[in-house]
Amino acid sequence: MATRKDGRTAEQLRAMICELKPLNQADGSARFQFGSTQVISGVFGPREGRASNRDSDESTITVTWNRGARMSGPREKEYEGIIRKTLEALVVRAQDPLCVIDVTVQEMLEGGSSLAAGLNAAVVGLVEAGVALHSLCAAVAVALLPDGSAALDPDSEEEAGAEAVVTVAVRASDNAILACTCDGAVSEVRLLGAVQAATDASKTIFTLVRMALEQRLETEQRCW
Amino acid sequence: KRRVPTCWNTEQSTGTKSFCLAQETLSVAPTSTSPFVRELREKNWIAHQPRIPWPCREVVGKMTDPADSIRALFPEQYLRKFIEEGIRPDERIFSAARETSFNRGMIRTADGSASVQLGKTIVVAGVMLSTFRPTVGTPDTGRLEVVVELGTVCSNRFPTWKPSDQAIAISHFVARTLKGAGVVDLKDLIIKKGAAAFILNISVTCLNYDGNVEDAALLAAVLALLDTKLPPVQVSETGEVVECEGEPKKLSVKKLPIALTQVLLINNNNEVEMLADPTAEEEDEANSSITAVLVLPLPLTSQTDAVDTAPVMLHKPGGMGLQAKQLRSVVSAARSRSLRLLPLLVKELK
Repeated sequence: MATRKDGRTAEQLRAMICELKPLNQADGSARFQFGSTQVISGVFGPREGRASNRDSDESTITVTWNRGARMSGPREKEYEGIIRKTLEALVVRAQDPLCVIDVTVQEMLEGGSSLAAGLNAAVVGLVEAGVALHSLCAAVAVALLPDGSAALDPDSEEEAGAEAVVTVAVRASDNAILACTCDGAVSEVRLLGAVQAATDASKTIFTLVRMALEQRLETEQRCW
Repeated sequence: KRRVPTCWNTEQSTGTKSFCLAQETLSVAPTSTSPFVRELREKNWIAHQPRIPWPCREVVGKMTDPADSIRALFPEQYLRKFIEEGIRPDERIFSAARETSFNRGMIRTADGSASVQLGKTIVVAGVMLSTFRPTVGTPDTGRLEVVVELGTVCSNRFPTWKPSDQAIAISHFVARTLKGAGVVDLKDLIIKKGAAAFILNISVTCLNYDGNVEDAALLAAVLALLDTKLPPVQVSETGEVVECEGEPKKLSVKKLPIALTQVLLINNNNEVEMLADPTAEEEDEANSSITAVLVLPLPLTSQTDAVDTAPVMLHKPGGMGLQAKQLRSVVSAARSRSLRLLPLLVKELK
């Protein structure tokens, strides 16, 4: 199998960084990096919601996606909806009725697989904020190339040259697919193959996230 | 005519009593110790403080039929009782889409137009052509812009002062799907390389919101493109785009994407149920949905092989988790839907 331009194999993810608490004002924050794609998330909450925003049964999650230096448009609105609905499936919402959890995702560097990085940062930010989750979730993008192959965690160049880019969010507890977006049409077989590849890759991300969280817990305990 | 769930004894809930019910529950606090509320909690009519559902604002004053008041006050339980019986409130089975009808060319002032009706959801799409100077990076590419408008005419749930988040997200979904499926080759829109190209401004307006605007808007957008004719133009010496002699040319549309949206609910056995082509009521109660778009090649034939081998786009914006097996059933449901629509589309595009 021919290697990709940066020397990776088809199933190889770029070097990932998961940093906790890069922001000290937010209740929880995380920085997630897939190679040259960097996203920071800030979580405020659970805190009291406005009358228009709150639900007497469960907490409300709002997501804001900010691009680096550019204006937000429909793409960002769609990403906000996808992340919000994914987080709604993860957060134990019944625990904090009438509360609002504000998640802000800021794209720092755009280098391909932005939605996946943003979702990962949002989930880790929630854990850092102490919001109860049913399970962890990891997102990976898969580029389906015109020559029939698949490339995990594509960079901007690979995304531009792909037939379709599939971003999949996988839940840790049962490997269920929480979210899936396609930027092009491919055969069903290739699509499900991409979903399977993403599910396998999500295990790497879970390992990384768990390591980062354990490290953070150690530092916290040492401070006390 | 409409099946009322059998567990609700209509003798118990007469008109006046259910109106009192409305008054009581709307103002009851979660820790209320009122004997009436306690009785309802014992009967499992309210498990917790119910949200004030927005349809209540519409039905106030019309609560004569007990089923209507239950529908307005406890929409989730109302829907669930139907799901238990294997049917939906409008008497469809889970996998059935609503009656679909469409036609094209009804707006003479637009360059292309189409309207789609999915049950009670009505959507009208119009294509307006404008020109622009292509960017230096892509001198031979035109543009495709989609705006889906969910205004006050379709429902009172949408804000009047700004486009709702849902409208913007649907606009982006339709634009992304049209571009990703390769419906129109943007290079066909060029008038003169580097000097002028067309922009296809697709404006989709919802006239009545009864759920599943995504499918309707996508289909209306594609049919409007299939109705669009490019006028004969050329670039003058001064650099302006002017009409020249010739016949308008039909826009070359290469693919026909057909979408099927299903909402996901958990039934009493803790399994995931999928309701195809949801109404607004079903969409409100189920907060997870999944859309599969099948991309059929044009020109359309009545042959079904095209549907079996058509490429697919999956759109699942978060929500309930699904396994790969369920994703496959979603795609096959989209195929069945395309097979059902195929004869209607072939007739329309002839």
